[in-house]
Amino acid sequence: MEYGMLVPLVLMGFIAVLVWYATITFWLADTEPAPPYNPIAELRAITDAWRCDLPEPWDWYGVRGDHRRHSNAQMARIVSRHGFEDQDLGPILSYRARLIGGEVVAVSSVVTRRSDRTMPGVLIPVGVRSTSDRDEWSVVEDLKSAHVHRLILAHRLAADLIDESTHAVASTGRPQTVAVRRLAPTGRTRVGHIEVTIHFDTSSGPREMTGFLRPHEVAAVRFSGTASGYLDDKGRWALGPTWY
Amino acid sequence: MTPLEEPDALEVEHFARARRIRGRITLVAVLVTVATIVIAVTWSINDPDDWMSVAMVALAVVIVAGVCPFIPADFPPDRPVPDTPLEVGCVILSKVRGWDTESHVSLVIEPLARPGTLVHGDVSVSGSVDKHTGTLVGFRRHPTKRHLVWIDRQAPLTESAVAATAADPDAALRTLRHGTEDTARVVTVTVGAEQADGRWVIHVDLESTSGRTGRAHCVLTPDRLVMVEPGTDVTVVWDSDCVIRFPGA
Repeated sequence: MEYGMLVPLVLMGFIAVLVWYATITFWLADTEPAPPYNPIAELRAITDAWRCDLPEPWDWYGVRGDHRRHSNAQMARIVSRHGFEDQDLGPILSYRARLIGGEVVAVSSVVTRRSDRTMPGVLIPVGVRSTSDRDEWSVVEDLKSAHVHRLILAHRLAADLIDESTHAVASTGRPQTVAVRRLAPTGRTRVGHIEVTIHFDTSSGPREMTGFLRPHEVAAVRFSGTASGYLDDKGRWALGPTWY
Repeated sequence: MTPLEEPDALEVEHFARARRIRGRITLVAVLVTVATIVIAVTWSINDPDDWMSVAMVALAVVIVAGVCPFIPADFPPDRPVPDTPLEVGCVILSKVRGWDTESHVSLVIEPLARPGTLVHGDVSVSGSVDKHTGTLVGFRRHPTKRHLVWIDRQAPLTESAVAATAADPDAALRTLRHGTEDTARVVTVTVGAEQADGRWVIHVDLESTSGRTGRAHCVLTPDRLVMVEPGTDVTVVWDSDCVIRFPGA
């Protein structure tokens, strides 16, 4: 008898068992059609995301950049995305993003698991590496969440989307979710944001907060009936997402 | 609010058919596997010298048969293009379902005629996946679905879009027919009264490149104010009055 064939034989037996185990599991699990697409849940996920404590940036954006110097990290607003699907890596996107001065830079390709969170209008941490002939921009991956939060607020302050007092409340306050009684636009718009006033009730009576939100965030507030803001120790409220 | 809806007859039939096909393939695969094992065992008993080669071939057949029943059944059915009336809506969110040379994008649309409700539909786009976000699109509802729509990208939208966004639809349509088209810059925006459906009357002061000024009155949801941000250029039609043609219309 030839025993040299025993090793591949055992290996094939193992694979055969594995394949049939997977087939049976698949058969038992996949008897239901896929759940129908629910746009409300999609919108609600936007306002729900504001509510959470600061998430890990890497997990939140789901992107991987190769830039590791934190000292010169800043936020840039995504203008457009271009991408393709890689069989093994998932979506590989490159962005065009606007810096605070108005300059639009190309951010080189990044792999993302969350291409729905890094959409146009979103702020993403980027850093620059200067070579002799040009500046290379890429996503800064391993920032701490508190650092990104500070950068977001600094960017919003520089873009005139929040004022100094709102900046102070958002820096020190706790995230809060309120049930919206009434939403009214003030008529002011700025860099793709709309200023709205949100009226709501607290245990100490009716309150309102005013702030600039992106269009789909206003839609999310309208459709979900909830909005998020900050409440600081002095009882001051500020409207705005904790994160994006 | 837009609740989830039950699958309609087309979807039920689609998934039943997918399951039926997969069931048959699985049955054949199981039969082939059992038969292969039986044949391999009898062969080995009759001819013990060859049992290793026989087992090798048998295992290969068993593996191939085991892979065959993997047929994903959760893709949506093809639907015929509906002949329901054309409606206009504003894209408030686009979610990319797959990236490729042609990317598949799900659009979440708020119909202009029925603010406060949502519909959704899928399109394939080439180039930037975000080109529909914030613009107006035409769509037709699938007759047996409440929220799923077919995106009609060829349909002329101008008249229905202008009628749905202008404060005085009749005057706006008259202006559209007799006026001249031009590009104008938004100077100021004033918010007027709130309508019963959650939209607001918006007064937009415009100044064209030729120096002509005018005021357009629109009815928009608060999030659509971004379309008339002061400093942006919009397409307008001037007559004695003026109306704005929003992107996509």
